[in-house]
Amino acid sequence: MTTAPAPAATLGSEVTIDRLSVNYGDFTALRDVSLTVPAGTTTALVGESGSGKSTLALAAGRILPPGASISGGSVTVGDTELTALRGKALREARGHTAAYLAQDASAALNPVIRVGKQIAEVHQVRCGASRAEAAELARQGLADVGIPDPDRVARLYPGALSGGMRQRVIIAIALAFRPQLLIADEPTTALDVTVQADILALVSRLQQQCGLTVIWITHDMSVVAELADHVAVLYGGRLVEHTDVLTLFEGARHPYTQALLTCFQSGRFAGPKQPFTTISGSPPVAGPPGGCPFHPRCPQADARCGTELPAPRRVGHDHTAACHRLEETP
Amino acid sequence: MSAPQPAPGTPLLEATGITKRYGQYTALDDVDLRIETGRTVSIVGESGSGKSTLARIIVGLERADSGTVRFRGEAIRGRRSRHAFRRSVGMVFQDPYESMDPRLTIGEIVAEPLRAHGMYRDGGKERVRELLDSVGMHGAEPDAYPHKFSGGQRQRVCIARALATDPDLVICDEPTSALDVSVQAQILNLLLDLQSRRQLAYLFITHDLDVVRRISDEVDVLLRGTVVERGTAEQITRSPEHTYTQRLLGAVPAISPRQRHIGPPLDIDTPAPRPPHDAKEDPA
Repeated sequence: MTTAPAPAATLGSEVTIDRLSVNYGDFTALRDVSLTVPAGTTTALVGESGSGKSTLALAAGRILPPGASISGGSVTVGDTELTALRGKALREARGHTAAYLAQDASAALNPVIRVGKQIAEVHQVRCGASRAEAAELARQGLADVGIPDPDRVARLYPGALSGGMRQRVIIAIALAFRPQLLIADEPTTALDVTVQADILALVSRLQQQCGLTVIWITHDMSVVAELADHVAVLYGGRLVEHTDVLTLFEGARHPYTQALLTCFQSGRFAGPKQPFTTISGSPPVAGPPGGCPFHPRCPQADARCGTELPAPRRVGHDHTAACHRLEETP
Repeated sequence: MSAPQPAPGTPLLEATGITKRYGQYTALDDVDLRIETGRTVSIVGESGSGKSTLARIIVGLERADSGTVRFRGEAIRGRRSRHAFRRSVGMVFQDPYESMDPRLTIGEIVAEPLRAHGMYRDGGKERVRELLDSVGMHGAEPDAYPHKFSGGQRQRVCIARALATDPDLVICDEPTSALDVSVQAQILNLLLDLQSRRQLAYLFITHDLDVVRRISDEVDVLLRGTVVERGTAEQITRSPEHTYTQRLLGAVPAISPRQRHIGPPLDIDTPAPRPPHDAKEDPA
């Protein structure tokens, strides 16, 4: 096998999310989230169920399910304001501007079409490649994502592939669009730890080669530690903290982020049969309560936290947190 | 329960020579397993390693092609002994959303094993409340339906169900992997607490090696249906001998961005931004 040549540079774009709100009917899943992802970097979106992390990803890719709507704010990728697009322009932007990597690779592939063809289709649609050209590009795409013997694999149906291989195929399809932004929604959560490591290594290699901008959604702090340049922590549909990865791990300011990190790090270091560090309570199921969404579980909450919503404020260089108990740094 | 007193030194559960084939495919090949009273044995391995099949065979949800499962020294063979054994073993599944009937109330769900073993008529209602209390669902209405509860609360109900017949062994098949991170620790603490209160033995199936190290007495590493390494949790996670175990541990992502070994190298030269009043030098 020859070493796969690097895929052509796609040059990711800066992504700006400005005061984005998303509603499912009357329920506000995401409220006033602002976030900038510098071109060619990875931002991890961290959160638990109900945090709005998947909603944010779907909104950023303009692939929200029926019933959900962007009720305010904007998403801009490069010079394209995705939230302003309609009809044909929107259809073209999907995939090209922002490609989406789903958690469940088997559900994202068509089980009755050979995987080579599923990638080739993208090239035919995207740049009007002929069938032969598209097939060759598809084979190349499979090689780029580290699939051995791409000629053989291109002729297989998804069912004949392992979970890790299917996830690689999905990555090949996403990259075939030459997207400016790759949105990855927990693509390794369902995978074994060894396969997860392969996929993380693959995405980080591709990202460095192509300069892709990546938004990576996860609940796993160890994946964040491996992959992210910046981290945005969401809770109850709000952005609660945003900073670079090192600052987050070593100087998190929001009580929720601190608790999450303590849970994660104590898991690695505490002795056998010692109790695990927990955050009492559970994430809000039916929408966040009034005031700060974290206040019912927060050890530092006072009366103000139950009534007044804290706005994100600057607490350091390139570091914001939304908490009443923090002093603002000029 | 007044089971016949087994000879001293007899393990609570002992499986020997378990083999299971699906057609040409060998899912389990001559696997042995031993669990002592009040201890936790974890089985780790990737998907397809046969770890769930082994658990299902032990509880009797599937039949092995060959091999024996002994409980307190007695071989489990035939309907009668299987039924009796099931009273002594509980099971907690991975997904608390799919492992209970949404049309039953949580009280009915917890009562199911009691009814199956004819234990409900005599004080079953009080027993259900007691069980819900013991898993931290104090004051939960037994007449409520599962959809009212969060994932963590549902898993507590599933644990209450597993404990209903006062078993000696509980099999946990990835009991926290479908839960939120902040809730996983609560469920693990509950399991640890129940173990010390009730002298429960656990057979724990998981792929989370951090959890394995914390909760297990013994770890069995399963690769393609064979146990390739067995040892204490400390041995397996600190100084694994088999290359496969080493590979599993090597794939665990880092605990801090400074210790990255899978993702892109971090520009560590950039010192972490510090509050201006902190003039201390970073020794690292």
